[in-house]
Amino acid sequence: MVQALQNEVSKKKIVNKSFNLILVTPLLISFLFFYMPLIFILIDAVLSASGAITLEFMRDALVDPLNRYFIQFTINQAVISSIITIIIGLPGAYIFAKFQFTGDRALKTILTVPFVLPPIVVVLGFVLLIGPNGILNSFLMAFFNLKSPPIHLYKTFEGIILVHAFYNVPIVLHLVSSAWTKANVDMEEVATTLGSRKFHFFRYVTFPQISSAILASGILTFLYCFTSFAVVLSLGGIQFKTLEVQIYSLFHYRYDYHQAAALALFQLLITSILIILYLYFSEPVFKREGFKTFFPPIWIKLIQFLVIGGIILFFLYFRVNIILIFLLGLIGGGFWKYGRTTPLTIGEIRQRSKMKLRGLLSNEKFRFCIIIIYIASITIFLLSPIVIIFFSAFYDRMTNKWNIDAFFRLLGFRFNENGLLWIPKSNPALGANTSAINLIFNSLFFALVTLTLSAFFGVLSIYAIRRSEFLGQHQVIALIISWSFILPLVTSSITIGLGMLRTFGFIRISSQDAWIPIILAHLIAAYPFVSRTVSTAYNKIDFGLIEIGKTLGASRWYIFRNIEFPIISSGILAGATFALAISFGEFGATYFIARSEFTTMTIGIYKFLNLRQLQNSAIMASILILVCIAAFLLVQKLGEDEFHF
Amino acid sequence: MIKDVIKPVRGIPLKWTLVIVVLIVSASLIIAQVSIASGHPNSTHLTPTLTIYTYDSLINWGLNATEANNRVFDAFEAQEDCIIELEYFDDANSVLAKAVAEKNSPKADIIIGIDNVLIYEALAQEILIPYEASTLSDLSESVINGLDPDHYVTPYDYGLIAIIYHKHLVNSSNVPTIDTLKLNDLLDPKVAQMLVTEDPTLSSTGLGFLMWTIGVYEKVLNKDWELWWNDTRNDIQVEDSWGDAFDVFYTPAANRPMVVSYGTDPAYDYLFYGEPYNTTYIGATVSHENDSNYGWLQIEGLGILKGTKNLGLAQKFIDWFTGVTVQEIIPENNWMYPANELAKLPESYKYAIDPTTVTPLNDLFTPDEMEKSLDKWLDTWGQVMILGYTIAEPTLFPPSLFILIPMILVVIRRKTRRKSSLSD
Repeated sequence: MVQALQNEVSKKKIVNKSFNLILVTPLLISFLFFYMPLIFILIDAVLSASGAITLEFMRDALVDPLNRYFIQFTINQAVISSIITIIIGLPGAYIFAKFQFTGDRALKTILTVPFVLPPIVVVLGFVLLIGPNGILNSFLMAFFNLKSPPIHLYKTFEGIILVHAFYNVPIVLHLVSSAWTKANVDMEEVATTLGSRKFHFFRYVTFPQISSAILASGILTFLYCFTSFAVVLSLGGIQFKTLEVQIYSLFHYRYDYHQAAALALFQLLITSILIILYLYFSEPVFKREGFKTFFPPIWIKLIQFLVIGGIILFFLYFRVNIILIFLLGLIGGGFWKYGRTTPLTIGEIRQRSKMKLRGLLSNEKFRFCIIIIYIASITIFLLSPIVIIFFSAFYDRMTNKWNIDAFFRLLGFRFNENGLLWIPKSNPALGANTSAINLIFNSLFFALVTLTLSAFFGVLSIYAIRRSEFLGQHQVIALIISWSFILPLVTSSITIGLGMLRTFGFIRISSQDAWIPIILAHLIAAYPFVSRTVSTAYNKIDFGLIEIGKTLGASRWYIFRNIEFPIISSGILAGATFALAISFGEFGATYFIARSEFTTMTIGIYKFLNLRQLQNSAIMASILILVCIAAFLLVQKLGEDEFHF
Repeated sequence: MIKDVIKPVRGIPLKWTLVIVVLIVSASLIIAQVSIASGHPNSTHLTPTLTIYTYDSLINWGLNATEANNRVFDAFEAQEDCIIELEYFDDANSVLAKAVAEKNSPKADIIIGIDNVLIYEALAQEILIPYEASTLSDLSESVINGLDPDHYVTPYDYGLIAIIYHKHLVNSSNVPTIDTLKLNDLLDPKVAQMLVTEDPTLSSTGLGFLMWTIGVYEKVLNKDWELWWNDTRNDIQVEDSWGDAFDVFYTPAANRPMVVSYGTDPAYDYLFYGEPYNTTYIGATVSHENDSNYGWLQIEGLGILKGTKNLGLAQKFIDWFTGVTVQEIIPENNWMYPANELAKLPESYKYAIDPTTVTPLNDLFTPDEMEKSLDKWLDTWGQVMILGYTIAEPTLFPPSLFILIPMILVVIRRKTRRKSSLSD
C-alpha cells in the first residue's frame, strides 16, 4: 500500500517535472564522455583479440616480476612519504592550532602554496635547489672543496621522498590544524580540572578528536604519492618507476596496450578503495556511526576482516618491506585502539582562545625557541624551491650573470633599431610550429574552456542530483550515482590520458581537432573538485525559503535566480577558479595525449628541463606559479577556506 | 554535533555573472584565434610546409651547427620554395614513439633517425610508405641492405657503436687491455664503474650497445648475454638518452670517463680540440674477441610517414638529404659515415674507426630473429638490470606469510577471552 502510494507520488513528480529530464539529458551526455575512456581501458584490459573475456592480461601484468617490483616501489615510497609528511607536518598543525602570533593566518596561507603548484614546477624548484648543478650543491662543493656534488637528487629514493613530502606537507598542516582548532574545549577544561596529566590528557581527549584528520591526511598523501607521475618521471631513472610511469612507458615505448590497460585498471581499483577510506575518515564521527548502523554487525565484522586481511595479503604479495608492514600495523593498531575510545560529547564547539606566542617568550623560553626554529625551517623548506625559480628565471647559472634578456627572448620580444618588436619564433625544443607564446595561449585557452564547461556541468549535475529525488529513491540507482561521482575523483591522470587516447584512436578525429581530448581530460580532472565545491555551497541553501517561494507562486526560474543562485554563486566561482588552476597545472594526461601544437606550459617546462635549458624552464614556471597563486588567493578570498582536496 | 554556523553569504548578482560568462567565452574565443594565428606565424596557403620529426642532436655537433643547419634545411627551403618545420625529441626512440602515437592522424611528413633496430618496430606498426630515392644507385649497397631492402627507409649515414674514453683518464695503467678491449674486460667492477651507457628502451645508441653485447655473447662466445648485464648492472651508469650520457662523460665530477657512443668520436675530438697538436684526447674501441674486431653497425635512415599531404615534397627532401651536398655535411656535423659513396670524407676521419676493419655483428642475426626476439630482449634487459639475473619463479605468496598464523591465533584467543570475561 505504502509502496503503491510512493510510486504514485514519484510518478507525479516525473510528470510534473519534465523539467528534470531536460537536466538529466546533458548529464547523461557528460557521463558518456567521462565513462567512454574508462570503458575503453576495461576493454583493453579484459578483452582478448578474439573478443572473448579473459583475465589473462591482468594476470600477466601482475605476475610479471618487473611490474611487481614497480608496484612494490610505488607502495613503499607512498607509505614512507606519507609517514614522513605527517611527521614533518604535525608540529606545524599543532602550532597553528594552539598559538596566536602576528601574521599567523598569512603564514598559513603562504605555506599552502606548494600544494597548489603543478608537480613539475616543484620538481624544477628542487632541481634548481639541490640538483647536480643546484645552488646548494655548488655552494657545498665550493665550501668544503668537494669534487662531486654531495647531495643526489636524481635517481635516488630519498630525492623522490623529499619532493613528495614537500608537496604534501600543506595537506597535513591544513586538515589537522583545523581539526585541532575545533577539538572540544569543554572536555579539555574538565580534564584539566580533574587533574589529568598531559600525556594522559592527549591520549584520551585530544588524540581521539584529531585522529581521523590525521588518518584522512595520511590517506590523501598516500593517494597523491601513489599516483605521482611528473616527479618520478623526471627523477626516477630506470630503477624507480611508479605504476603511472610504468603504464606510460609500457604504452609509449613498448606499444603494449593490454598490459598498460591492465595495470591502469589495477591502479584504479586501489585508488578507489583508498578514496572511499578517505571520504569515510573525512566525515564527522557521528556520521560514520550512522554508516555503521546501516549494515548488520556481522557484515561489519566481515568487511573489517576482508579489508585488513586483503591489505596484508596485498602487501605480502608485492613484497612490501616487512618493517613497513609492521610499522603500518602499529600505527593502524594505535589508531584503532586509542583513536575512537571517547565519543564526542554534544557541546558547543567554539574557537579555543589561542595562546599568545609572545606570552611563551617570558615563561617558557625553550619551547618558544623550538617553535620559532620549527616555523623558520618549515618556511624555508616550503618556500625556497619556489623563490629559487623566480630567481633563476632572470639569472643565468652557466655564466653566473643576470640575464633578463632571455625572458623577453623566450616570449618573442626583440629589440632592434625600430624599437620593440614582437615576433614569436618557433622553438624546435618545444615542437614544430610551436613557440613559447603558443604554449601560454594554449594553456590559457584550455583553462578558460575547462573553467566554463566544468562550472556548467558541475552546477548542472549537482542541481539535477538534488532536485530529482525520483532517481535517488531506488537504492541501486543511488549507489550507482554516488559511485559515478567518486570515479572521476579516483582516476589518475595517466589513466585518463590512456583512455582518451584509446577512445580518440577509435573515433578518429582530424589533427586540427586534437585539442578535444585534452579539454575532456582537463574537464574530468577538474570536475570532481568543482562539483564538491558547488555541492558544499548548495548545502547552505535554506530549503524553507524555496518552499515559501513556491507557496507564494514564484516560478522555478524566479526561485533559482533570486534564492538559490545568489547563495551558490560564490561556490561556483570558487569551483571555477579551482578548475582554472587544475587545468593550468595538469601534466600527466596532457603529456600522454598532447601533440606538439597543443602542448601546454607544464609540458614546456618538462621539455626544457629535460634538455637542461633551466632558465627557459624557470621563466615558464614562474608565470605558471603566479597564475596558480592568484587563483588560490581568489579561492581563499571567496571564503571557501575549507579545502576540497 | 551542531552544524557549522551558516555564514552570511554575499552573493554575486546574476547580471554580473552573465557579464563574467560573456567575457570569459569571448576571451577564450579570441585566445583561440590568436593561438591558431600565432601557431603559423609565416604560413600562407601558397607555400607548402614540410614537418620533420627528428632527434635533437641531428647535424648539431659541428663547428658551426647553425650554419650547417642552414646549409641543409634553409637551402632546401629556398630551392623548393617551401617551409621546413623541425620538431626535436630526446632520442630516435622517442621520435618513433611519437610517430606511432600519431599514426591515425599524422602531423609529420618525414621522420629522420630510424635505425636498423628501430625499423622492425616501425615496419610492424605500418607507419611508413616506401620510396626509392633517385640517389639510390649512389648509396652503398651493403648499407641499404643492412637497413631496409624494401626502401621504406632510406639510409643517410652509418657508424660503429663504440666505447669511447678520455685518454688521460683511461690508459694502460688502469685498464691494461684498453687497446684490445674485450667485452669481458668490462666485467671488472673498476672498469665497469667508469662506463656510462644509455637505456636501450629509450635510446637507439643504447639499443645498439645491447645488440653488441647480445651478438658477442650469443653468437661469438656462445654464452648467455644476460650474465654480462647481471655482472655489471650495479657498476654501469645508465642514462636516458645519448645526450645525457655524453653530458656525464664530459662532466669531470661524474667520474665516468667511458661512454657508449660512436667510433667517429675521436674525429670529433680532433676537429674541436686536437687539430693544432695533431692528436686526439679521446680514444675509441670496439670489441676484440677471438683475435678479430667485432662491432655493431648502426645505420640511420629517414622515411616518409603514411598519410603525408606533401608526398612530392617529402620525396624531394629524401633525394636532397641523401644527395652529395648534404652527405658531405654529415661527417663533420652528424659524425657518422655518409651513406652516399660519392661524398668525400674529411681529413679528421683518419682518426675514426673504419667500419671496413670491423666484422659487423649485424650479419650474425637474421632479420627474422631480430623481429621476433627484440621485444623479449628488451623485457629481459629491464628485468636483469633491475632485479638481477636469478629471478626466482614468481611464487604466489612468500613464506613470510606464515608469520601471520601466530598473530591471528593471538588475536582470536584474546577476543574469545574478552567475550567470556564480559559474559561473566
